[in-house]
Amino acid sequence: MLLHSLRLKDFRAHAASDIQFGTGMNLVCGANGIGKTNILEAIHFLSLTKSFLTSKDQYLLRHNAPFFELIGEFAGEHRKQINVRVAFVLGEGKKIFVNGSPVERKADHIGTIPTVLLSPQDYALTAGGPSERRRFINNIVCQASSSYLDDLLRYRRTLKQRNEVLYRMKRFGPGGGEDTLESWTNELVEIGTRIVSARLKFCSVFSELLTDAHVLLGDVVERPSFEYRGVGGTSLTDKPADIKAAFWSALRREKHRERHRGITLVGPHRDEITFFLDDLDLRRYASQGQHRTFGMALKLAQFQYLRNVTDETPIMLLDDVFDNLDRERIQLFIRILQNEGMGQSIITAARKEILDEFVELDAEANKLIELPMFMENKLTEVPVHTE
Amino acid sequence: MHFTSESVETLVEQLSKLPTIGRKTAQRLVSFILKMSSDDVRQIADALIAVKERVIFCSTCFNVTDDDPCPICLSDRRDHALICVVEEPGDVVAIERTHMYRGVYHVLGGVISPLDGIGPDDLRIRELVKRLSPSVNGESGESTTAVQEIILAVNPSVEGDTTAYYISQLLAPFHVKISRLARGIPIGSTLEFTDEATLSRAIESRVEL
Repeated sequence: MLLHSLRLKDFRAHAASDIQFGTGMNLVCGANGIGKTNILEAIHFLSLTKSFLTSKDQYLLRHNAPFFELIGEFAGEHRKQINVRVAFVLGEGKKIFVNGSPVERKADHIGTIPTVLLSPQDYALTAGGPSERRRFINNIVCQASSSYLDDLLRYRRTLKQRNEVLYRMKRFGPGGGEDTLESWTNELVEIGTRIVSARLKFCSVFSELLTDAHVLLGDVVERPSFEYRGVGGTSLTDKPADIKAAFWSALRREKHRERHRGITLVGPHRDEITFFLDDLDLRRYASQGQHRTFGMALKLAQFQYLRNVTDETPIMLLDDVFDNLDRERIQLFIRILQNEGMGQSIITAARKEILDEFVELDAEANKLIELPMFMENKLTEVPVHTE
Repeated sequence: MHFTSESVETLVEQLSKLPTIGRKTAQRLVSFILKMSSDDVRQIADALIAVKERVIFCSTCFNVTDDDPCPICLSDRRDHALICVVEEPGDVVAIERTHMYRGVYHVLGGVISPLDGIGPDDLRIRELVKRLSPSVNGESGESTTAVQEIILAVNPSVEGDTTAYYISQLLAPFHVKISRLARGIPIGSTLEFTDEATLSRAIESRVEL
């Protein structure tokens, strides 16, 4: 997948910007607050219909603007021209158009433009709580399979309903809905089992890709691995029937605690993923630099995974990731990005010198994009009439 | 924004109470109504009142009807051993349009949804169980065939699925055949344009030839 051009209208810091990209590495430079990250945010939005910095679309509006618009001209390996347009109107929400026709369900679009994002927020992925890691897996599997997304939405709804029953039972006693609890539990297990088996299937493929990524990053990273602990202690080798049985028995074990607390305590919404570096729990023992490089290994594996399942080369989006890395690691990572088959990458950095010494910036493949680009972006003084 | 006429304003407000109709649609409806003849408007108004005053629920199937029992429950050309369970009266209309189904119905009046405060007692589930009990057949004194099959034609939402499961558990002691509508590819559509979720369910519930 290649992004040829991007147009932003009243999006974040951009009043009206039109950016052309090269087919290889693109370095977006400029002072703080000029809107470098916003460009990656816009591409992310065109790919996944949301920002990676906020879940509220109205925050993406430029100050006081009533709507924003994003237009990306992409070229796929199979579809030669994919024109994605997003229009968000305050109070009306967003609409997505692909080659002029509206996308009715977001799920139908997600996966069309595969992207992989590396950003300082990735730190939370390896150092934060398990929900970050579940979201990481969910995001990738959703891009690869829309039935997974459908199951995820149904699971969330079922979970909410079942929690309501448990809450009512806690408050009003068995009359709060105990007679329907088993039916909700059955639905939870049915959908939850599909989710866990999809995740386990993903994990077995992904762990190999993570090992491959380790080879690429070999000079600087210890051997990364991870462990997925599914509901009721299920592991990679389990079949759906085993998962279902484990799910039921875990629910039976937690029955009293669930009623006491009034919420669902068992299920894929509480599954844990643990990352290891040479068999040490990353979250607990790793240094900042190790977190960062592990994050890179994860993203490289994500890139390979998406390329394999979608048959498209994802676009790499790198937000300010080189700022705190030593020269050696920057050089290594740049070399990886230039590898055959890595496709297009868009990198933001405050100073262009970071890449200057490793990359030859030309207009064709590797391009330097310096912000601001247009006069509209600058505040101009309006003459005041005093008549 | 308010209108200079209070009657117009009131009608806009009243119409906005209806589902899927917001203020803007209500305004369009009102400006259309203003252009209609008085007779036409009166017909609409009469129909609205009549629907509330005349329509009742069938005491057997709980579908909307003018007479109790409803024509479907009364018909002897229908198979009373076959009950199709649906959520709303509109679903009966949808199934009747197929001209395929010759059984009778049972309208639940919704689905189990704790978040909306709807439990089994708020639906016509107990009444469905009663229809299966032999005592009811005994009361009528007629040699009506006992119910043999229940088709659960609820929507494929998580609430619909859960309600279907709940009913199937409740009916298990009666040893009747219980089925659910198949999920699959819409006719007139092609595999290419069917979304993955539907397609994967269709593969799951494939039929042997």
